[in-house]
Amino acid sequence: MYTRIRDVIQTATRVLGYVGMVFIFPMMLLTSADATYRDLFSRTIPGAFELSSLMLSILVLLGLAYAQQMRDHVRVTFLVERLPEKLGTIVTIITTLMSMSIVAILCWQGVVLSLENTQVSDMLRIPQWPFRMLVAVGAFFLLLEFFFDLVDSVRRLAE
Amino acid sequence: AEGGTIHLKFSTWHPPASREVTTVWTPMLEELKKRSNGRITYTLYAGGALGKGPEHFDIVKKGLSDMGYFTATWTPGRFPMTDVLSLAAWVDGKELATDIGNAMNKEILNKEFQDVKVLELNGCIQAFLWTTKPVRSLEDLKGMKIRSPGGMQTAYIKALGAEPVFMPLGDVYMAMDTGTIDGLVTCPPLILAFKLHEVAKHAVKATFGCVSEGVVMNQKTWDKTPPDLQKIIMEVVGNPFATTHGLGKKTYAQMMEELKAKGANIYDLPPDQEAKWFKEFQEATKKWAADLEKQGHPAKEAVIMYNKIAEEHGTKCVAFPPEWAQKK
Amino acid sequence: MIVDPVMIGILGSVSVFILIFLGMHIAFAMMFVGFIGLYILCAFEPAVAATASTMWEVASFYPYTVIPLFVIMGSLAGSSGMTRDLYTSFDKWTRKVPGGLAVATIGACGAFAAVSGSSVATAAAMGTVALPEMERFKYDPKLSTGSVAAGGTLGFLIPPGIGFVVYGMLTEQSIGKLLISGVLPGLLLAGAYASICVLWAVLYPQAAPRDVEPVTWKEKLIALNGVKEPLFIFLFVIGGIYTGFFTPDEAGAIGATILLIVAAVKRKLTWPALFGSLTGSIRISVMVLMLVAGANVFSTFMALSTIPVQAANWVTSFDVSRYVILAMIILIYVILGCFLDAISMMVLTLPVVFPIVLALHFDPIWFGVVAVLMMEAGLITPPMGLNLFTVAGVAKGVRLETIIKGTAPFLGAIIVVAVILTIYPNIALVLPKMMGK
Ligand code: NA
Ligand code: NA
Repeated sequence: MYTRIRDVIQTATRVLGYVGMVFIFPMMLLTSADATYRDLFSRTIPGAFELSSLMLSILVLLGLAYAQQMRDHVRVTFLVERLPEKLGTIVTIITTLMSMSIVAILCWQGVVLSLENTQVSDMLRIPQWPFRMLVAVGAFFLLLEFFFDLVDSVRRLAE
Repeated sequence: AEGGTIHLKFSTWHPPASREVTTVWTPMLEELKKRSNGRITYTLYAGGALGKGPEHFDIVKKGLSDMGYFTATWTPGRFPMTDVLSLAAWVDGKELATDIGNAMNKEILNKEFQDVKVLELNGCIQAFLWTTKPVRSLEDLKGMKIRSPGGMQTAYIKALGAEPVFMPLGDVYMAMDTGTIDGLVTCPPLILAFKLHEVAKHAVKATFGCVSEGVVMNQKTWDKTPPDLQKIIMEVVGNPFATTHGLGKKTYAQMMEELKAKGANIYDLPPDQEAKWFKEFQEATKKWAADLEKQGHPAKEAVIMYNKIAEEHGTKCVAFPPEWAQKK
Repeated sequence: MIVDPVMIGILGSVSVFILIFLGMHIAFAMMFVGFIGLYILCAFEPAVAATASTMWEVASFYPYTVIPLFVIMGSLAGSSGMTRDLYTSFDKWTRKVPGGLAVATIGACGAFAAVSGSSVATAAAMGTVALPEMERFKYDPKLSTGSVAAGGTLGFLIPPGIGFVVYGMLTEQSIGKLLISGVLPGLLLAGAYASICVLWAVLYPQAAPRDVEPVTWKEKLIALNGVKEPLFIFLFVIGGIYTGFFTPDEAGAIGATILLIVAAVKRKLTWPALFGSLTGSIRISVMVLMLVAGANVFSTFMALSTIPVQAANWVTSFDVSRYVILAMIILIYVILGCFLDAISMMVLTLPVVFPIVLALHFDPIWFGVVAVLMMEAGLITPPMGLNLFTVAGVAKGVRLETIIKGTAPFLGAIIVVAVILTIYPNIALVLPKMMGK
């Protein structure tokens, strides 16, 4: 049962990452089009800057958990690997709990700050709160990724 | 509460060596210390050490800093009515801008700041258009990318046919140096603080108004402050530019001379061109008011009130649609 | 309860080190300790709010769009086979130079730095291009990753660079003069980096295996054929920037678009290659920006602890030779650079350090070059070294420890260049002096 749920959630995490990464194309094309349009017609695409920043936020926040699943968030492991196995596992459990606590704060405050936000973008007047909500979405899946790591560590300790 | 002391963290995004910090904020905080006989002490965090410019309202609201200088214009949509302080007007000193801003706050703007203690509100000193290439007419402006501080200035830049771009002031030098943008609209002290006259040598002396700003205090800290110290804070910070004489009319005139000496080419718009520009501004004002009225804000009333208060202070709001003057 | 902010700050810095060595992910360790620090020095509500809003601010900061764009440009250049041809040609031409490919990489970093103001973009783009190639030629990962991480720092010193802009703003110096003053020291530093590559290869020949087979001139000329395309694109992009057609920020997007078209036309754009480029781009961007967010929370904590100001006050309070004080300032910058991002470090310390520097009769423009050198050093010192992490993200399968060891000699080069500049200040000052008033 646990394995099934875990598989589903981790697939969802990957899908979020894939959705995020697709935004590289519009970012790339919008910036190129903006520059070309300006050079050839002395006109710019209104709000290209704003749109690029918003797309960057989608890309980064949707990718938060995906990067953790792919083991991309850097860490130094040589000391933990040299500790006696049991001690090393306990240390990993503690540091994972610490990471989880800070990610939980990101998730919770992501919701709070998003809901109280009334800001819009300067040119296109796009509301900011839905994008800010992605902080919570990204952090939620990141929290689950850490949770799966935690379960793995606890199981290793139990053995 | 007699005899209580308080330590204030003051946060601003102005660079530590800037005129704002050296001639306004530091002397202001020193004055607080002096008038309270050392019962008010402070730590000054300049240069955005506690967060970037647009975050300053939240930094104070949430309590990371007790007091701070925030720029309402940098968070579009959040203080919609306060943009009225950014209407293009000939305001040539910040003590004057603060008198006008405080009057507007008392009348109408205070509704937007329920969760902090507002100590003062001000528009900014009149801002000009600074560009890397000379601009003489509306034709020259077509297709130029101009950094806008946001709000009304964005509307004005658009109305003149240029493309407004928002970015933090700290990134503007590089952006102009590399050609990402062709110019900006800002006030002389910030041109000097960020060395922008080195890249944008050409100014057009037509007022664009400028951002709406102010000093706010964390509500909890304010409530904890002994009443006699609250009184001192209001006296000193209520108009910090008047208290310190920093960035007043005299300084402003000196700054213009300094900019000229540093090679800035300041162009006075001929009256017929000027009339054309300001006509565009007035149209922008009408559009701004109409948009806000639709959302249920009494924007037209605020513009009329702003014009009246500005005239009472001996200055002129060029973005005020003249036809609104007749209707009382 | 009265807490001494400095004490809390020191405890916080030590805790970050401990947590990192205990294997906690670096970004989360810095964010966690930064949060606890804000909580202790301030209160719970501002601490949680500052942490979460920092995450948002970093993720939506326009200048960071260069990271995904340059990474995808680099990896499309790789999958179109372009960089393979380029490095094959480099190899044929530089075979006589020990560590030739690493030297060529430093050179390419320098060229890239001349158009980009961002060190991370330089490291990200050059990393995606150069690392797989040096791996193909069996270079020691220490040397290859070290040269890319260090080469990326040239983005700061060789103009344009954000470091000088920040310094000029903080010290009221002419930014134009500062940017020009970085040219010769930048070349000197690039030379020093290249010498390290050569020396490394001479001392440890197995680190940069050399094909002793001599190459005929004919072969060399034929190999030039492989340079044609990348050279064309490079000149197009650089030329576009110099003629003002587009900006360095836009260059990543335009380069990537062109490469996408080229790869598609050459029928080298397979789905797996495109998928790999996209996932690589998002994974590196997320990893780097998560670190930036963690570091920013930690920097806010450091600012509240007043440690940078106190440290600067302390070093500059001694009554000793001005060169001893300068050495101590440099030492403090190396230490602070371990924890703070380059810009926060300058914002927090220069108001104290700069007046002292003037009082000691050091030239303000010259000190700007020294300060930017120190910012560069900070990019490659752990635990908070953005270039280290960027390269770690690009170089899959290379341990962070290896990269840190690999950059250490280059850190030495930065210090040596600082010493040379102190002995011969004119290296920095001759060009700005020619600019006149
Ligand atoms: Na550069
Ligand atoms: Na560092």
